[in-house]
Formats: sequence, structure tokens, C-alpha cells
Amino acid sequence: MFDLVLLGDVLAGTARLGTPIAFAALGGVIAERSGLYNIGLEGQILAGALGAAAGSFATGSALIGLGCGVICGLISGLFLGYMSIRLRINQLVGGIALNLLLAGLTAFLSRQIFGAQAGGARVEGFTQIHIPLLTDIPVLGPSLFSQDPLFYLLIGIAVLAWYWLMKSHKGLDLRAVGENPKAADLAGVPVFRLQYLAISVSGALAALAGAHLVLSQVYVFAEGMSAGKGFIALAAIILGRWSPIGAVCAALFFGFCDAAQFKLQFSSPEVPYQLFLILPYIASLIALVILGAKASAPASVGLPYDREHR
Amino acid sequence: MEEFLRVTGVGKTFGAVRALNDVNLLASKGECIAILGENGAGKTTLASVLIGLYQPDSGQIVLDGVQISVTSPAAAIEHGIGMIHQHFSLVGAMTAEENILIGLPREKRGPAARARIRQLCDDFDFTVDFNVPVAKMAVGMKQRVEILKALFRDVSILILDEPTSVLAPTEVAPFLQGVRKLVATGCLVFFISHKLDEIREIADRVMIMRHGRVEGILPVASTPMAQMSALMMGQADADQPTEKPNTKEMRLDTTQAAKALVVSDVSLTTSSGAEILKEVDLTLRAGEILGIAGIDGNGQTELSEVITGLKRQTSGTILLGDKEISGSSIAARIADGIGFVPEDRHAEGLVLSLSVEENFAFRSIGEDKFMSGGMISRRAIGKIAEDAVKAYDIRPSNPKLNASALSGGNQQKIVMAREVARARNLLVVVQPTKGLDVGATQFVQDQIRAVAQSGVGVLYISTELEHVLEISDRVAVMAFGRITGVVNPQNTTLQNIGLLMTASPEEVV
Repeated sequence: MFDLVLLGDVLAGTARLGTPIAFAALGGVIAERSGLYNIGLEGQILAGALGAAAGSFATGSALIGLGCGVICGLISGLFLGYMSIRLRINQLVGGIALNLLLAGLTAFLSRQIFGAQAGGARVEGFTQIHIPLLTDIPVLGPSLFSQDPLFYLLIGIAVLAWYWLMKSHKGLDLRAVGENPKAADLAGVPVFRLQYLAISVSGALAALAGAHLVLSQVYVFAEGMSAGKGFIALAAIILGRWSPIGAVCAALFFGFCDAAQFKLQFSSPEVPYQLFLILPYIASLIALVILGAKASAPASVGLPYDREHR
Repeated sequence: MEEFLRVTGVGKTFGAVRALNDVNLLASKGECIAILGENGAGKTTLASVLIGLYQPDSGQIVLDGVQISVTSPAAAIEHGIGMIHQHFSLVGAMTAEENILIGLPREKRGPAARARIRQLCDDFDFTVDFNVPVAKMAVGMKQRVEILKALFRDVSILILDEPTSVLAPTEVAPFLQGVRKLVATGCLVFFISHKLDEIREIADRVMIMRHGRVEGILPVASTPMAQMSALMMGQADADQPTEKPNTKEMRLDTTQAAKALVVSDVSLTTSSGAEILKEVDLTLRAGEILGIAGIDGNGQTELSEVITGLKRQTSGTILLGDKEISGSSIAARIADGIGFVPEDRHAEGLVLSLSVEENFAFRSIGEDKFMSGGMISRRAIGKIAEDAVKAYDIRPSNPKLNASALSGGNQQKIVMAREVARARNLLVVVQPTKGLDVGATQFVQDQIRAVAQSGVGVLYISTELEHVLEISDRVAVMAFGRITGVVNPQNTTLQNIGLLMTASPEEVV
């Protein structure tokens, strides 16, 4: 009954499907810890995906593609920051507007770049890295130690982000901004500079999610290929309690649900596949209800800060 | 003494309000200067300019002989200027140590920082729990964390904004002790307050502000308290008998009228142990206007809230006519004919995003006159609103407009019109003329007189002494949550009222 090969497959799928959600969720954590909602993750994934595809298409180098994707994410993050910090637009509305803008813009630009051919153009991507010895561990080995480079990058960034946010002095300042920007301002923290930094990094991380989709999964850009991952990432932030490590774990949990439902689809062809498709979302809802209740968001997230406000 | 800080010609305008007007000040090290003034006198605005929260429209700040421009709180910290805000600026989710270290450069946050924080605690005899988040601390401890935060930044100027207003009585003395130590180390301390006895205890000089101007900077030791309070309230010649307009003669003699409100032995103690109201006794007769005077924050607002049911008294009874309402709900008190014009018309009196006519109706929307067949009758609401708009000359006269579109005076008219209609037995008004121009003030007061004329008891609570004296039949003065005296405005002096207002708790037994 219990099939180790199947388990190994599901675990490998977990890593593959969870990575983009995890990148986006990490970005969301950084932004929300600075007091800004990033609802634009979904759109920024698309921006990153298009940038990565175009860069790789033009140069034939996956690494340059990755760089282009990250730059697209940074720019979209800065734009969202300008709307939220400088213009003090409602951050939910601003994020949704960005999603709509980027969905349209990436679709338009992709046709300009790749032509009208169906399925887009195939681009260079990353290949899996097999870590010697560890790959040979049964079940876990092939799934965790034969992944593409972006998976290892994710783990590195998650640990780094956790250390920076929770242990470094700048991280303390950033968290203070998210909790009580006025207190941080009065203590001498450059509130707006840190918020711009956080929202740009947030966009770049979301773009890495898009780059992963293109460069490590399908090697082609497709319109709307983010397929809701940016929104699941928002749930992963809450489930991970605004901790970088927690958010990555939550994202991998969603990836696991997704991988499991693929396997279930194949093993039970007589059941309508739509039922399995909703599994990850049901799981995320249940997880949020059980674990999310006690979580507390940064106290000032979503509230624009105005120094002279009376 | 050597000049350390010089402020010249500082002005700041918010919209149409001149919050600061040509403020000048000279101060030296090791001095404690109290800043005294009513609410809105510009005390906190001046402090906010000094620490870079607000940018002044004009004026100069010279520190230690060098002209400085404080463009941000970070710049203020560089110049050694710190401030403890009335409502604190701490991150509740973080510990004391984290709060103290926020915003500092890396080299100041090393392991040595920890030791230095503990050392400062010892130097100032501060007890601080370093293991819990600030949100879980008592108010006094939060304040100590704030002070440590300033001390750790090596401030040479520290501004304390009404620091004792949040403290329990037992916490005040140790706090003042700490401030004294700070002054002894050469720090220039500004102590914003309107508690004269504390000013007397701690300050060397007192700077009195009114309407954004400096009325005077006087040595505390040689200035009588009554003169301070007179300057604060804008009556330079405090020993003149108060003059009353003749409106009095038109008023009925109410001394024999039925009792509209009897407050007996009412006390209110907060969960932190602060005694806000202490054994308050009041009798208000039908048709009488009873003024409540006092410096802001001496329990007047809470008295109004206890009477209208927003807060529940800790002990004591309240009678409306013959009926005890001590435990009644707000709705029951409204049904009993109590009208209430709260102090903050934006937060408590109106819903700014609703239309004028909805604001007229929303507190009594369930009443038959506003309903037809179980639904809100727009026509009935519109009719009543239109009548009120006409009667009170509310402009613009379109009751479909949002309340936010009206000026402060017209907003207050809406509240007045609604509450006067509701007040069959008692009308409680708190600061009804706050922020209103002369014409609107006159109108509001005429309305209040008319209500009293019709036999309703009116409790008129205000810190604007001239208005209280002008309109009231009798004036009760509050200090430290007690009624320190009831006077007849016809034959009292401002001097006398000033003394009652500033009576210290020991004198009032």
C-alpha cells in the first residue's frame, strides 16, 4: 500500500511546485514586516517570468535571464512602493491594480518579443544539480538533492532573510517600522528608505518565483502562467506567521498538496479531476483556520505613515 | 546662566489654524522649564517642531551657538534632542532592549549596549523587566523604557509631554525624582503640563502659552499659581470681579425648581488604580445651567461620560429626576430624555461619512417617527432634517450632503439640534464651543439658554472659563476629580476660581 517510490515522486514535486510560492511568500513577508501589503505578488511573478524568458531568449543564457527577471521585479516593486509610500494609495487597491496592469502588459510584451506563434518560444533554462552522495539517499535523495539551482537559492535566501530580519540591527529597524512607524521614526530610523528597500526586494523575490517557472519548469513564457501562486503566497505569509522560514515551510506545504493531487488524479481516473484540483485550496483554507487564528500581523501593516498627520 | 538653546520667531500653521505664532525662548543647561497652557495652546506643536516631526513655517533654532535645522527626528537625535510623548512611541511587540536599540547605528548596538542600559537603570533607580514585550508592561514601566531610550541616545535636551497624565498617583513621585536627577546631570528638560502643583515642584521657570503665543516666561518660585492660571486662561487682570452680561435677569429663579439631576458620592477608578473621579456630589435643578470649570484632564470629561452612561462609575448613585439611572444602559438614558453633546464631535458626535439628515436620525432610527412599514422612512428623516437645518441656519442648507462637507461650526449645530430635541430632562454639553468662531459660539450658547428656559437642566462642561462664567447660573470647579467648590459667577473673582482649579489634592479634603 505504502509506496516509497510514489512518496519520493511527491516530495520531488513538492520542492518543484512549492519553490515559486515560497519565493513569492518570502517577498510578501519582507514587505509586510515593513508595514506594506504586497498584493501585487501575482503580477510581479508574471513580470519576473517575462523578464527571465526575454533575457534568456535574447542572450541564450539562463543566468542573464534570471538577472533580467529580477530587475523587472525590482522595478515593479519600486512602482508599488511609490504608490503606497509616496501617494499613500490604499495598498490593497494599489496591489490589485498592479496585478491587472502586469497581467495585461506581460501578455502584450510577450507577443511583441516572441511573435504570435502558439506556445511562445522555447528558452534556455537551468538544469538540475545532482549533489554527489546525498542524491543517493533513498526516497529523500532524488527529491531534495537533485533539484534545480533556484531551489538551493531559495533555501539560502530564506535562511539569510531570517537572519537579517530577526538578528541584524537593520532587521530590527525594519520590524519596528512595520509595528509602529512613528516610534521608529522618532528613534531615528529612516522609515521611508527602509520601506522602499523592503518593497523592492519583495518585488525581486516575487520575480524569482516567475523566473523559476520559466527557467526551471517549462522553459517558455505563457500568459497568466502565475496561475494564482501569488495569492496562495499571501496565505503562506499568514500561515508562516510572518517569519521567512515559516512562510517557506507553508509554501512547501501548499506545494506538497499540489503534488499529491497530481498523483491522485493519475491513480483514480474515474473521479472527476476537478475535485483533486481544489485540494490544495481546501488544504490551505483548513490550515489557515486551524493555525492562522492566533497569528498576529505586524501592527501597522497597510496603514500609510504620514509624519505630520495630526 | 549660559545660553544653550535659543528659539526665535518660530511659527507653524495648519490649514487656517496658527498653531504657533512668533515663539521665542532662551534656555540654558541644567534647567527645567515647564510649558503650561490649555489644550490647543501649541505646547505639543512647539515640541514637535523641536524634534523634527513638524517643519516650522518661520523662525530659527540656535543650539550651543550654532543655527540648526531639525529636518527629521533622526536629525533631532543627532543634535541630542529627545522627547517622551504623552502616548509613548514604543513598539509593543518588542522588548525594552529592542525598543531602546531601534534606529541606532550598528556600533552602538554591540554587547556593551546591554551593560550600559543596565547601568542607566541603576543610576536612575529604574525597575524595568527586560524579559517581556513592552505591550505587557504597566504604564509607569513603559515610561521608564521611553526615558531610558532617550538617555541611551545621550540627549542634552529632553521634552516630556504631559508625562504624569498617564501615571497612577503612586508612580508620580518616583518619576519626578528621576527627572530631578536628569536635570542635575546638566540636561535641559522641558516639562509640558497643565498641573500647576507638579510644575511648582519640578520646574525652575514656567513658559505659559495661549493660542500659539508665548504669554510669558516666569520664574516658578516667585510667581503665584493664580497668576499662572490667569495667564494660561488669558485673563491678565485676574483679581477684577467678573462681569456678567445682563442675560441673567431674563432667567428664571430655579433655586426652588425640581431636581433634574442628582449625582451623589460618585467615584471612578481605572483598572490601573488611578482615581479619576472622587466622591463627586452635584445637584442640578430643572431649568438651571450648572457650569463645570477646571483645567483640562481633571475628571470633567469622565463626569459627563458617567452621567450619560459611556462609563460606569465605581461607586455612587445618579438620579435623573426621581429615577435612579446609575446602572441604566445608554439607550435607556436616551429614552429617559438625556441629550449629550460630546467633546469630540468628529469621533463621538457625528458620522462624518453619513449625510446631514442621516446624522440627525441615526441615534433614534428605530423610533416610529422615522419608520414606515419596518423600513427607514427617507421622507420623515428628510423632513425633520430640513426643519432643523432651517431652524439652526445650518449651511450649506442641503441635508443630503455628507456631514464632512460642513464647517466645524455647522457640524456642531447638527449635534446641538439633534441633542436638544432629545433632551427632555437633561442636556450634558462638553466643550460645545471648542474651535468655533465668535458667531457660532454665540449661537450655540443662545440655544443652550433656550433649552434651559424650557425647563431642562443643563450641565455645561468647558475649560473655557469666560464662557462658563458667562452662561452658568452656578459654577462647580473640579480639580483632581473632586468638586473643589461651587461658586456664583455673579460675585466671585477669577482669582478665587483659579485657586479652586489648582487646589492640590491635600488641600481638598
